[in-house]
Amino acid sequence: MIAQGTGMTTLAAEPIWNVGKGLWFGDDASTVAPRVDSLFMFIFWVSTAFFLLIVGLIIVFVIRHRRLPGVAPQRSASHNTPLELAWTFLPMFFLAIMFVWGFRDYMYMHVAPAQAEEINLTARQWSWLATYDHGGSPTETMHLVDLDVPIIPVPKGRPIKVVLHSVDVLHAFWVPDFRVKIDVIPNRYTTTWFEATGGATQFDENGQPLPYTDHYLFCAEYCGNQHSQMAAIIRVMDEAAYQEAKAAMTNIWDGRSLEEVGQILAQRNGCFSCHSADGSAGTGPTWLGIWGKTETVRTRDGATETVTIDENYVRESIYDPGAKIVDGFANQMTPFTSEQIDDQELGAIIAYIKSLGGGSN
Amino acid sequence: MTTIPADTAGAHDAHHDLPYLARKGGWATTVWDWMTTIDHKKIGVMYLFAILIAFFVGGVAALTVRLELWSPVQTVQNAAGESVVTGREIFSSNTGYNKAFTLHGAVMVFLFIIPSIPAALGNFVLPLMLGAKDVAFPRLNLFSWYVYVVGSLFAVAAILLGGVDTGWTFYTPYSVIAEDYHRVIAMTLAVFILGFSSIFTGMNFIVTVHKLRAPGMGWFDMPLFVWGIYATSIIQVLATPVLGITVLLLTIENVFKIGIFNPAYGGDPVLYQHFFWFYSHPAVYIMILPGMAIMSELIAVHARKRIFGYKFVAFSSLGIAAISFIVWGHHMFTAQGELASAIFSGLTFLVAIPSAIKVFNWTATLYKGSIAMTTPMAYALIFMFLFSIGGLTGLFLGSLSTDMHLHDTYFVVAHFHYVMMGGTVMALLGGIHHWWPKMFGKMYNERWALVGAALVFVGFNTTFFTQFILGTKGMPRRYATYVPEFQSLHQLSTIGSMILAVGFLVHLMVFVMSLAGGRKAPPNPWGGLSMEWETASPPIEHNFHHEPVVRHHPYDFDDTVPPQTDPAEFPLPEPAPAGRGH
Repeated sequence: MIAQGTGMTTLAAEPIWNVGKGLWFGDDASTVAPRVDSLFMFIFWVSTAFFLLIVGLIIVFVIRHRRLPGVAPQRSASHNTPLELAWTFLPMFFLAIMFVWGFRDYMYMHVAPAQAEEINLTARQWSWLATYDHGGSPTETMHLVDLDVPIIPVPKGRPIKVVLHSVDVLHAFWVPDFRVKIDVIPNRYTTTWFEATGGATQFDENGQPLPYTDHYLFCAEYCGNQHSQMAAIIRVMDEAAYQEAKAAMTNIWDGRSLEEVGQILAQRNGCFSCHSADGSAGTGPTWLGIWGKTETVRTRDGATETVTIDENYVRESIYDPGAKIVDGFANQMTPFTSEQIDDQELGAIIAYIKSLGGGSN
Repeated sequence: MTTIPADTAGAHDAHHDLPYLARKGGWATTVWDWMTTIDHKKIGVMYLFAILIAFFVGGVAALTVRLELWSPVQTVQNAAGESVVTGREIFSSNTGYNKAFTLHGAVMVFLFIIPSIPAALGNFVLPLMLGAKDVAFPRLNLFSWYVYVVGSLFAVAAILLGGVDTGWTFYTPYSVIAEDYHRVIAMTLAVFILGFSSIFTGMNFIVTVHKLRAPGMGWFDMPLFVWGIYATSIIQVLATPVLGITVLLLTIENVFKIGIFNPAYGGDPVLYQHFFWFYSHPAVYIMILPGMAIMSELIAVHARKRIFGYKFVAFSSLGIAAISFIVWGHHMFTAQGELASAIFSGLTFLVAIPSAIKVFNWTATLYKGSIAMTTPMAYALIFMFLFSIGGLTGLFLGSLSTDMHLHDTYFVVAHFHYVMMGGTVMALLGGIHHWWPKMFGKMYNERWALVGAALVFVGFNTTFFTQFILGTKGMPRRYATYVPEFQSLHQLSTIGSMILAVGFLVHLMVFVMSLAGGRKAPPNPWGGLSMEWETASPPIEHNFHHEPVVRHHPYDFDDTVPPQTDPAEFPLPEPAPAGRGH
């Protein structure tokens, strides 16, 4: 759960049509968010005016011209060309404003400033993996809904360009507080950018202000079974804290045991969205106590056989998950390539799974 | 069905002067008679039953979806310190939820709303309005009903037996890379079969409108219902084949492993979205145009007023049909390039104009009318209220920068429910009540029907208005689980869906009571001027005793005493001063 902000953001010149914005929007935490909100509220009030006009006229007519026994309708014109042309072309004026305004801000959203720092974001069923310009990835996580999701640090007040691609199906990158969304597509890079402002101050459980603000990253394009759990936290922090967070993620091998590295890699690669480490049921078999177990599996041609969960089985199941599926589970996993998880990393993940206990070894 | 005494006036062939509902023998004979009928009225009634069953199935799926969203799923520590998952209301996993919303979407779109008004009410009313004995190709009409039933069974079987969890849009590559992709092929094949039914019906209506208008009926003497159905038929015939092409390409890709949509073979998943929406966006207008068509009838007849700006309303239907083919890209603002998005955004704003024209014209029609608060009129007013919200919220989605935020959220869900359900379904309900006396020869209980309409109105707004706010605040669509801050709005929405369900049950009760013991309907209970009100209620088997002749405009309420009514009940205004006409 993200700490709730209670502070107020005050902007110098809030346009008049922004009245009532609080009903519709939560925090705004990027430079583009106030632009989107402003157009939204402009359309809202124009629409409300038209709506009230129509509904008001209908109510007046229904009351004044209600049917009374024996009373005939009154004669009235059945068409009026100037009036009809007026209500055909008058709305076009408002529509043109909306179109141009929306297009202008859309281009602002799509063209990243040249000095923007790039963060690569890889989407897979069902996790987000951020890779920074120094090759590192986040190691911190936060418990959200019923999964641990990664915390992705970003600096405040500086443009960040996000380069996205998917290794499997369609996903979409959406940070509601930033009002930024872009589809993530296999075999094609898409990009977007934002400059985080952080929005309202957030507080910890004791009511103390936090030095950073957290914002949800949701997957917005339906991507299968655990679509609704494919989340992450974007953490907006000042430059010094950001550089510190980046430095901390450089080399996960330093000062960590093989199991600890394996756990971080499993987290980064989204393994835990399907395979729990605490025995709870998921889309895939839990890893708790799985090592050395004998399992009945389904092979690709539909035959059943029994295997022992060992190094070879784990390796095969990472690079070619469909080869042997544990009975009772569906083949839902996207295969990893040896570039995505290399031999050394594979060893760490195997060590981690071993550390979760099992029948032998 | 209840037998109604035949109107025997001018009987030259007693058999054909019987009401079309008259039974011709025992149960077996009656069933056989219905199953082999080529009477457009019986086929219309058969469609009505079929789509209402589909509506029920889709509705139950919707309620399970809403109930599941009553609470967010969370992992919490129980008293024993173990992690337990809470908040699963109906389904034990996300998969069940995903299948339920797929079932809801696919059934409501392909089995219910696309065929609903044209195939059920259109079949019954359109030939009567034109003064024709039947549609142009009666056998094709029956065939299209069977095609619809086969396609529907295929679709439900594909979903229930296989379990499709892709959403009703079947987006690639998710729909084709799973090991069970063949279910999606089966599902799209079902949609393809249903598409044929749609094409047959559309073709039939186009020819009927061109060739079977009563003597003296020019194009601008047609009721606006006919104009709307005609525009819809054109879209059906032109757009539906694209769906067939898409299914064919999906199959070729999977059989021959040629890369078309699947990136694993070098295909492009966004191409699928273009194909899909090239059909499905015009299909949105296949859904709403017939609703608008009904609206013109309800407003004119129950306000006893000539439709304001008849030609603007008629041409706006054709305008919508034409523009509907060039706005499909607005479903892909987050997936396509800047230039394409800009063009589609501009075109999308353009399509708002003809819809707005219609609403303005209906409002102006009420001016100085004689407005009866019947259920059909209540639904016409509900339509204007809800459809205006649906249309205006489309502006937020047509505008590029706001769509970046709102795309694929509950805002979109609310928007299209306001249009599809607040528009089309409300018009359908109004239309069913409007033509119910004509179809079944029985009146319904007006008071209870109005209670039902009030419940539907309140329930609908509670369910869906909350979803606009959920969307802007950050709730993505198609989420089986959600973060806890959205819970109260979700609960409000779920309560609304229950009220909505009660409203529909009240309507069901009113219909059953009417069939069981309703008052006999007069031939023209509302004082309508279009030709269906010139025949008996229910109509005789051949519709009219003699080929009808057009003597007045269908909306000339100022100068025409409605046929088969007591003139005292529908008095005419004072004669127009000399020298002033229309």
